[in-house]
Amino acid sequence: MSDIQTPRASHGAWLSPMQQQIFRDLLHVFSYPGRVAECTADSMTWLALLAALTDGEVTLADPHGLIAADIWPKLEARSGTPGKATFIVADGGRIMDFQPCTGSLESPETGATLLLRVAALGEDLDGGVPLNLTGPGIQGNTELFVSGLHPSWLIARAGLAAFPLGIDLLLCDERRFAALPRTTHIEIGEML
Amino acid sequence: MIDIPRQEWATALSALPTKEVKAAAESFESCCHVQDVILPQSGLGLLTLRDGAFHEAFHLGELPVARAHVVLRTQDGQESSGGAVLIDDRATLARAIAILDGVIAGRLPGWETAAALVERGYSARAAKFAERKHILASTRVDFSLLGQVDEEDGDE
Amino acid sequence: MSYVAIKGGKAAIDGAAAVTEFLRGRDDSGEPLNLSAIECQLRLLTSRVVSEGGLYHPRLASLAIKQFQGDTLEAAFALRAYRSTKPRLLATPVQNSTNMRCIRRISSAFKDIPGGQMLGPNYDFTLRLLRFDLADEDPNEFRSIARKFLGALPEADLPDSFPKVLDALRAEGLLPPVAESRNEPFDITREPLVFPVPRSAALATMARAETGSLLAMAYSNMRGYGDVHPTVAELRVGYIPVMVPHPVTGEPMEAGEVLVTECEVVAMYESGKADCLPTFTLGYGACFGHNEVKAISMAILDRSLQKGMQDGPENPSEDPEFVLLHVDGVDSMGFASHYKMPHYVTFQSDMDRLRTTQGKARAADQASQMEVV
Repeated sequence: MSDIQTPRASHGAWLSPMQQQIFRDLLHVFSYPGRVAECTADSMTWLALLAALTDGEVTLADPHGLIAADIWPKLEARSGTPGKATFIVADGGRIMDFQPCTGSLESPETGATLLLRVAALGEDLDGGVPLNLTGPGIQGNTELFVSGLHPSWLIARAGLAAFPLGIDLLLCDERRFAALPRTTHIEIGEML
Repeated sequence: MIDIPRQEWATALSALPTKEVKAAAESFESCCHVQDVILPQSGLGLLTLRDGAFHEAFHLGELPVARAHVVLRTQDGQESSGGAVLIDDRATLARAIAILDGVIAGRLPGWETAAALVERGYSARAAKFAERKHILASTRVDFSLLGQVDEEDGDE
Repeated sequence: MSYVAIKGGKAAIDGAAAVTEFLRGRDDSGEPLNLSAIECQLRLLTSRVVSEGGLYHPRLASLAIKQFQGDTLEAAFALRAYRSTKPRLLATPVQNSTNMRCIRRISSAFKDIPGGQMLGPNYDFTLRLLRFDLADEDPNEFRSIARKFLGALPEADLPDSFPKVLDALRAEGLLPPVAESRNEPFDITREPLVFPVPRSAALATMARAETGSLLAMAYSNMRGYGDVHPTVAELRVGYIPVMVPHPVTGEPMEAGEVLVTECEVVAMYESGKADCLPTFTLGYGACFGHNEVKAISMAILDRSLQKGMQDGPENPSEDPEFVLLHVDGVDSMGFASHYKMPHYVTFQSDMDRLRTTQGKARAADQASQMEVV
């Protein structure tokens, strides 16, 4: 009768093998911006990603109150403000109303990673807004379709970018996730 | 009753064979629901020490650390929290000790067996402490003899 | 320095690993080393590796000693590598070594220290004559050693911990006041040493320094290149209980204990600043495990570095940069060992330059001879 010794699917995200798998997938999606990875953990995608990414060394901001109180101790991350936190989890459907850290020239790696919850995500998606992507890791150009993402996030991202400074985005829907690192150039297309 | 303060339960239990501690914890897991508040983990802790000359804090080095924090709920609705931090590599052992810690602290059904384990571990530790005192006692320097034989200090 | 990628060495490298293993396995006794034997019977070696590795894990230290066939530098390196794979879960609150469960406690400053002097395990009064009876020790005899020792003693009535000798001197007003600074201690595992560094960085660096390097630096000060002239106020060896907040109550709980050697030295007095009276100066040394030479060396260097930080270094052992950047065993052995790596391209270019220079020198020589003629 325990969470750990008899793993149930719903707790997969807290187990090491799942976290290793997710970390591997994160490397993949950051290497190939716009490609979509499946999340097989039986919990919300953004939460499974956080479970794999955070520990006591990082700060995490939750401006939209997505994280339940009993989840915080398991993530171990210290709570931070959106302006300073290393990781920020937010509802991508809402307007962006804070300014995340973009790092410093000496330490651009301290720029924040934002996990945005969106309605749906796909390399081919009915009713999604196409994002036309170019940049490192993309041969020529590629398209990523997203629905439920307020454009303010992408506009702010472009406004904050002064490479190597900038922020990295992880878009997460129910079952999938994709990365938009700071090196990727995004053009917002017309909805199909 | 248990006379040993809670701050020493974990080290007392660590002094016992691991198998025995884990078996005891498992027996409680079968009769109450155990939920992890934090995930049982092993890693490192930085040891901070006060220097003896100026009382400044500095880091002496690192230690292996395992820790766990659980909430136990019995079928009739009793609830108790347990936790443990050990200088050890084994998160599973920390979790087992956290369960026993919660059982004793909340006086959950059957806590007496867990308390008896703590007491046994405590005696095992006491034996180790007694060994150290033997080491000290058998090498204690008696300077009074020196004073009787010769008035000089003779330390050069 | 530069390296070239070379092909063709794989078989040789695999062979080297097999050969190294072969030399370990060729032991005629047919008995593989048991980790518990290393940890107990070679306890001072294990102590050295836990302190130089900077990780209090006697069991893994004995494994490293076995794996690297007794090389302390390599064993400490392996512990450092291991620690780098582990997450940092916590930093303990500041621990007080007054709580140490001593097995040894001496002072060369006073006979009658509060609590008394207890020699504990040491070789200070042992003749350095080889005990040939150990060469062919009877296992039954060996097994009875501990039993005999414990059986021969009456119940010892001693306190659990002992006061510090320095506290008595401080109460008499002979010592400088304790530091007011409440700064976070420097974490040498995360931050590079950029000079000047706070004293907490110096103490942490020396606590995991290589024993021989630390001793050599301190010895230079003792023998002539410095003037600390220390007196050991207290040297203690024992187990410090590590107290951390209980996950549920937040009250301090004991997580376990660590064997530590600690040394406080009192050195020549200094005229007081402004309108303070003159006081003795102090040095502090501590390390994991039982290693007295290391703790004493560190205490002397703590004192000499304080002098260097305050008045500027006059001797190598007073220069924080000179001492702290050269005492780490993993750093220094790594640098020395790297010279074994192929430097074929750089050396080729060195040879080219030398030949060119020689050629120019010969040509110039011939030219000057022709002028003479």
